[in-house]
Amino acid sequence: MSGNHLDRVDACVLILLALVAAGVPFAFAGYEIKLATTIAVQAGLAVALGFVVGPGGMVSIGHAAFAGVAAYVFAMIAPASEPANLLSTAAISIVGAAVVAAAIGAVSIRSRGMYFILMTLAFGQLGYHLFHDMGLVGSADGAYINMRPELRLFGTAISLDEAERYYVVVAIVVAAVIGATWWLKRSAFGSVLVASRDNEVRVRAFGFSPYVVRLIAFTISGAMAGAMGYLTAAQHGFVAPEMLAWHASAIPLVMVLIGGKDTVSGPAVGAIVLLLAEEVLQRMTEHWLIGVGLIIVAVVLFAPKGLVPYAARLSIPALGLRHA
Amino acid sequence: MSSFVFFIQLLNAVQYGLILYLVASGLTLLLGLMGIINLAHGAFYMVGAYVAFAMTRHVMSFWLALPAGIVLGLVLGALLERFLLSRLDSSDHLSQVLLSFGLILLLNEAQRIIFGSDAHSVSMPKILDYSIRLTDTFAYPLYRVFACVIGVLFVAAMHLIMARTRIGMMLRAGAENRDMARALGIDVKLVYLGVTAVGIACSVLAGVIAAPLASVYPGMGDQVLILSFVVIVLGGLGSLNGALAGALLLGLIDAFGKQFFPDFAAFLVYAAMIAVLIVRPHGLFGSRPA
Repeated sequence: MSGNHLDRVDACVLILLALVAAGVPFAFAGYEIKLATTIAVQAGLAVALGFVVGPGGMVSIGHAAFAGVAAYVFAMIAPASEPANLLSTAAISIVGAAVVAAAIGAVSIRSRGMYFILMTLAFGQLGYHLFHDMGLVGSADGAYINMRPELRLFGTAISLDEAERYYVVVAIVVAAVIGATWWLKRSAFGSVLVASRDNEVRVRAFGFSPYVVRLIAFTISGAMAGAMGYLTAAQHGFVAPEMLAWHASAIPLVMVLIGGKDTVSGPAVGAIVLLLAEEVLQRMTEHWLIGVGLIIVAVVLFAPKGLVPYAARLSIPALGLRHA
Repeated sequence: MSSFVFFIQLLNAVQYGLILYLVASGLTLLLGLMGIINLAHGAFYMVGAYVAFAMTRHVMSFWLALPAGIVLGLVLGALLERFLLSRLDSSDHLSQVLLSFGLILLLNEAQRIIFGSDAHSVSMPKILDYSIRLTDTFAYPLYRVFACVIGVLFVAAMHLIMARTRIGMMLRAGAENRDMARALGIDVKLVYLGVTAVGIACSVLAGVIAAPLASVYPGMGDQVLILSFVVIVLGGLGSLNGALAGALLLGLIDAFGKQFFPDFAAFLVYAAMIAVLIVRPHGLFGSRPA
């Protein structure tokens, strides 16, 4: 399968997703809008993680920590009795996540392979225990954010309490994250990142430092994860230590792998498939996790590269393309 | 701290470390020998704990749980290797992560269907349900001594098998260089089947032994899984001696951390792992990246 074909399918899936996301506020209301908001945020987190897992070759089981840190920063700076300013509090929270990602990345990226995976996992658990056992902010049960932030633009304050409006803001931010990832992957920086993954020695010979390139990618991804953590905290008005724990990190990784780590749309597709399956199965049976587990095992066995590359391969004969 | 408290904490540390080693040795063998990351290893520990629960509750015998757990572990391990792991590319860690995460969900939910969501305690076997009095105020449960003894026997057996037997030689050869071992006529497929079966059985056995020491509850494998990974990373991936050192170190950090800094104990475990990896990127006994 040629890379170009996969890229085209990737782009088509993204356009399709954008159209679906744009149609959601017109087609649904109430609970479905909230569900769509949650799915969009998870999709953004998965795409951010996919960028370091795929092109970066760095499998992180600690990305939820960055989302969690941003959420906790927001909980700390949010005023108690009035809505926070969305743009300024989000900026501070994202910077907080980026700083933590840069620090964790600086230490972890020195190790490779399995050691890197487990290093990020250890840092995530460290963060969990910091907030859970030591009660850095709030208590072991979490901390509340009393009011949803409002968007202040050109001197007018727009309330986001309405679910539809909040969804629109989330959808725009997630679209920006996905767009930025698409652009980064295709930029000169993205090429050096992929080259660092595939052949470190040659990249060094060209005068680049793979360590620095990886660290930058890791930090950007951490900042994007932070944005998603902020949006989650603002949506629920609540942050908890569990947001940082390894389970919260493993689920986005599962989404990345289900959808396909070598595409930008894959992780988003993984998030949608997993969360929609969860939603549907939950209505059918109390033991819905069996269904989710079976879906995951089936994807590993039948579409090991992920659903989007699988769709790309299936579409070759359908489009009359030759195998390349 | 009186010397008695110190002594008791030391025993607790060793006992906890040995249980962790029982789980971690299988995990590290799978990783070192076959390049397989098995996230579901902790879920098999949970299976063992529930075998102990079911046996003490319905058959009224803890002792039967030991062979039952081992047999069940061997069967589950062999099935896992034969029908799932052998289909995956051994260098594709991500497929393994995904597959074993799916297995965790399946095993956890199967547990919930069979046993429900409540935590249960598992009664100790009568003969061991006794505390050794050390002083007027301190006593040490006999069952913990029993767990220690099993752990020490396991360490000794593992060491003898790896160092002295033909099978151990094959395992070491396979871990050192898989392709060369195959070229020398070792049936790698059969070795893989055996190692997966034994590795899973060890984890199940650890669950059986640990069950009376703590309650059994859904998802109890998660924490053990993470700690076992910490153990094998501390020791160096694929190294059995490293896993033993890592397990005992973790036991010490846990026992004395809880004694001195109750709020920081869990934090210390991960901080120690990060510190070790900063100084020695391939763990204490590791020599090569995995």
